[in-house]
Amino acid sequence: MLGVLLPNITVNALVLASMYILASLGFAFIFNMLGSVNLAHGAFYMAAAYITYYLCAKAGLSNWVAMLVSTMILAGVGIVMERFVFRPFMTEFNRVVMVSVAIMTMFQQIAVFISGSQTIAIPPYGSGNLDLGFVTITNEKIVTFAVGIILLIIVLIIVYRTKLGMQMEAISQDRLGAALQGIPVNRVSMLICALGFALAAVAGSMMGAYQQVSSGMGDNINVRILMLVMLAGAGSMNGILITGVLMAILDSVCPIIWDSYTASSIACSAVVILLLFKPKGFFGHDA
Amino acid sequence: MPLLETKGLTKNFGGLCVMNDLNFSIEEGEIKGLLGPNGAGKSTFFNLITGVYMPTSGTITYNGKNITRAKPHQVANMGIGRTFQLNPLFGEFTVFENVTAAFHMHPHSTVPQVFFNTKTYRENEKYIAGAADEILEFLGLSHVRNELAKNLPHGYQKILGVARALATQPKLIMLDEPLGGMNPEEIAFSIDAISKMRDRGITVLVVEHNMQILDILDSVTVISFGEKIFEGTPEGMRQDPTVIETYFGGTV
Amino acid sequence: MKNVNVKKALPYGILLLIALAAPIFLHTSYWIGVLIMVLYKVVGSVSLRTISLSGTLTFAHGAFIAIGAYCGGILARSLGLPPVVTILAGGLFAMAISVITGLPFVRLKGMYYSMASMFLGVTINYIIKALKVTGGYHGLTRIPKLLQNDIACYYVFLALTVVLILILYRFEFSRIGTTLRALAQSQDVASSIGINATFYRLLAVGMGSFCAGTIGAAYGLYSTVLSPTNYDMNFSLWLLMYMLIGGQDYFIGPIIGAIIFVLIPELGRDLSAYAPFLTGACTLAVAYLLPGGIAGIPDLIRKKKLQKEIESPKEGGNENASA
Repeated sequence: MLGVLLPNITVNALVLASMYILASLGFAFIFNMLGSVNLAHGAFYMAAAYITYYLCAKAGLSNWVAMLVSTMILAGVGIVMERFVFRPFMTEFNRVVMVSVAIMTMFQQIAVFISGSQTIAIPPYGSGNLDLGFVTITNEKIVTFAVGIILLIIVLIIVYRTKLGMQMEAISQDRLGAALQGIPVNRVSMLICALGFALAAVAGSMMGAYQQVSSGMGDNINVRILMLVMLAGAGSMNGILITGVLMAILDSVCPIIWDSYTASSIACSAVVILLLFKPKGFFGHDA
Repeated sequence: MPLLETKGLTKNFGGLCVMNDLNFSIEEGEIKGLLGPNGAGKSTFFNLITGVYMPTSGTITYNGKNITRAKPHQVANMGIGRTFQLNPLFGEFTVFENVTAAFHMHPHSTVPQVFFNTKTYRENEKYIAGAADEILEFLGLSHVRNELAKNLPHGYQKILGVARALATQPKLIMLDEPLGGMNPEEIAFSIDAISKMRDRGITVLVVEHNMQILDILDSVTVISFGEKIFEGTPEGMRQDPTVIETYFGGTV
Repeated sequence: MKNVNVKKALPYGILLLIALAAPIFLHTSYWIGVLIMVLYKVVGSVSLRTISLSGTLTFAHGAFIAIGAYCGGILARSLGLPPVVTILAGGLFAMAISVITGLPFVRLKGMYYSMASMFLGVTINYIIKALKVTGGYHGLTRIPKLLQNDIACYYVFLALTVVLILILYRFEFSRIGTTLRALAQSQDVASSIGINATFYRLLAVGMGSFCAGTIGAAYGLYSTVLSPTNYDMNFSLWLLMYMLIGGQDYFIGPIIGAIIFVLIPELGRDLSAYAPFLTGACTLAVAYLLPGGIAGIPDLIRKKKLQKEIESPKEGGNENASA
C-alpha cells in the first residue's frame, strides 16, 4: 500500500510545489521590493488560466502558444499594475488592499460569466504515461514539473547572478539608497513586476490544465501564496522554495488521510500555529 | 539607598558588546548627567532601564524593587518617565491630547469605570484636564495647546516629549538628548525647566551632548564603549584626564 | 458646545429616521430582507473598525460573525433557548474565541497581524465546513425564526443595531478609544507612558468580536439557515472594504460604506450580475480620488478651501518680499 502511495505522493507534491513556488515568486517580489500586499495575485493567476483557456477553446490556438500569449499579456498587466498601483501606493497598505479587492471582485465575476457552473479545463500539455516499474507517471505531470523547474532555475539565476537581481535586492533593502546609487529604481521594479506576473501566468495556465479552470482557483491559490510567503519570511527567496515544498506535501498528503475540509483546516491550523512561533517567518532577514 | 541602581549591567547584541558590566546609581532628588561620545551606549542604557531591551546579565533596582525583567509599560507605571532621542509623538493628536493621553495610570480609571462613565471617571478626567494644562503652562506650551503635534516646530516637539513624560507623574524622568536640534532661546528655556523639575521633587537623568547642561547637573557619569570611565561632579569631569582624552579628543 | 453636539448627532439622527421609516415604503419581505442585511453589515463593519482603531486591519472579522451565528443557531436549534439568550451567547462565544486566539496574535504588528488574522479567518471557515455539529459544508438549517412577522423582525434588528452602535460609540469616544488611537500612532511612546498594548488591543478585539458575534447570531435567527460559504474570506474582505471606502477615520464611515455597498446590487435586479463591476469601480474611484473615504469628503472640501485662502494672500506676500 505504502509502496504505491509514497512515490505517487512524492510526484504529486513535486508538481504542486513547482507550481506553488512559481505563483508565489511574483507576490514575494512585489512584497519585498514595493512593500505591497497584492491580494489580487491569485486573481491574475486565474485570469491567465482563463485567457489560455479562451485562446485554446475559442481561437483554436495550441495550448503552448496560448500560454505564451497569456504570459505576455500578464507581463504587460504587471507593468501597468506597478505603474498605477504598487508604485503610487507604496506605503499605503489600505489603498493597495482596496484596489486589489476591487480587481479580485471584478475578475471573479468575469470568470463566472465565462465558465458559469460548468467544469472547464485547458487541454493537457502532455499525453501518455511514463512507466518506471514501481510507479506510473502521466507525461502531463512530467511536463508541468519540468516547466516549473526550468523557470525556477532561470529565476534563481536572474535573482542571484545578474545585475537585475542585485539591483532588485538593493531596492528591497533601501529604495532611496538604491536610487541615490544610480540604480534605475522604477525600471527595475517594472521589470520585476512583469516577471512576477508572467510567472504567475505560467503557473495559472499549467494548473488550469493539471487541475481545472474555475472561478474559485484564484482564491485557493491566494491563501497558499500568502501562507508560504509569510512562512518563508520577508525577503527570503530560498525560504519560499522550502515552504512551497512543505505546503505541497501538506496539500498532497492531507486529502488522502482526511476529507477535503478537514484536510484544509488541519493544514491551515498548522500554518497558523507555526506563524505564532515565528511571526516574521522562518527564513526572513529580521526573523 | 539610591533611587535607581544597576549592578553589572551587560548587553550583547549577537557578538557585539554594547554595555559591559556597568554599575550606575542615581540618588533621589538629583539631576544626573549621563555623558559619552556617540555610540557609547547611552540610548541602550535607557532602553535597558525601561525594559525595551532585556539585559544579557546584571540587575536593575528601582526604589528597592528589582525591575530587570519588567516590561516598558510596567516600568512606566512604577514612576519612570522617559523621552526618546528621535522623539516620536502622537502626531495626529493635539498637544493637549498628547499630554492627557499620558495620564494613563495616575489617576487611573478602570475599563468598566470608563465605559459606564462613572463619577470616578468624570472626576479623574476633570483632574487630568487641569493637570495637563498646568504642565503645558510649566513648559510654555499653552499657546500651542490645540495644534496638532505633527505641525509643531522641532523644538516644541522636543518640549512636548518632556511634557508627556511629566504627565505620567514620574519619580524619575529620563531625558534622551532633550536639547538636540534646539535654538539658543529654547535651550535656555529647557535648561531652566529641567532645573525646576528638581524643585518639584523629580529626579532627573539626562543624556546630552550640549555642554551647557553641565551647569545644572549635580553629578555626572561618563561612559565610553559601554564602560564607565568617570563618576563624579561636573567640575571634576572637566579636569579628568581620561574624560578629556576620550570625550573631548585630547583638547580643552 | 451644545451646537457642536447637535451637529455631530445630526447625520446619525437622519439615518435613524430613515431606518425607522423605511419599512413603510419597502414592506415586501424581500426588501425587509435587504434592510436587515444593511443593518447586519453596518454593525459588522463598525465593529471591525473598533478593532482597527489600534492601527491594524483584521481580515478575520467575518469568521467571528460566523462563530456567533453558528453558536446562536446551534443553541436555538438543539436546546430551544429563547432568542435573547442565544444572541447574547453568540456574542460572548465569539468574544471568548477572539480573545483566546487573539492573545498570541496581538503581539504582531501592522501587516503581519493582518496576514495572520487572514489565515485565522480561513482556518475557522474550513473548521466550520469540516465539523459535524455545524452541519459541515451544507450548513445549518431549520433554525427557529426570531419572529414570524418580518417587519417586527426588522424593528428588533434595528433596536439591536442601535444598542450595539451606541456601545461601540461609547467605547471609542472615551479614554479607551484615545488609548487605542495612541497605540496606533506609536506603540513605543504608548508603552513609555504606561499603556499595556497587549491588554488594550485584546480589549478592542474582544469588544469588536462581541458585537460581531451578537449581530451574527441575530442574523442567523432571522435567516434560519447558515451556509459556511456566506462567511468566507470575501465576506471579511468586504466588511473591511465598507470601512475603508466609507472612511476609516470617521465613526460614520463604515456605516455609510455598508449602506451604499449593500444597496448597489439592489439598484436594478436584472443587472445584479453586473453589480460587482459597479462596486469594483466605486472602490477604485475611492482608492484613487478620496484617500479619506466617502465620510472624508466634507473635510477634504474644507481643506481645499483653506488651502485656497492661505495661497491667495501668500502670493501677495511674496510680491512684497521680492519688492
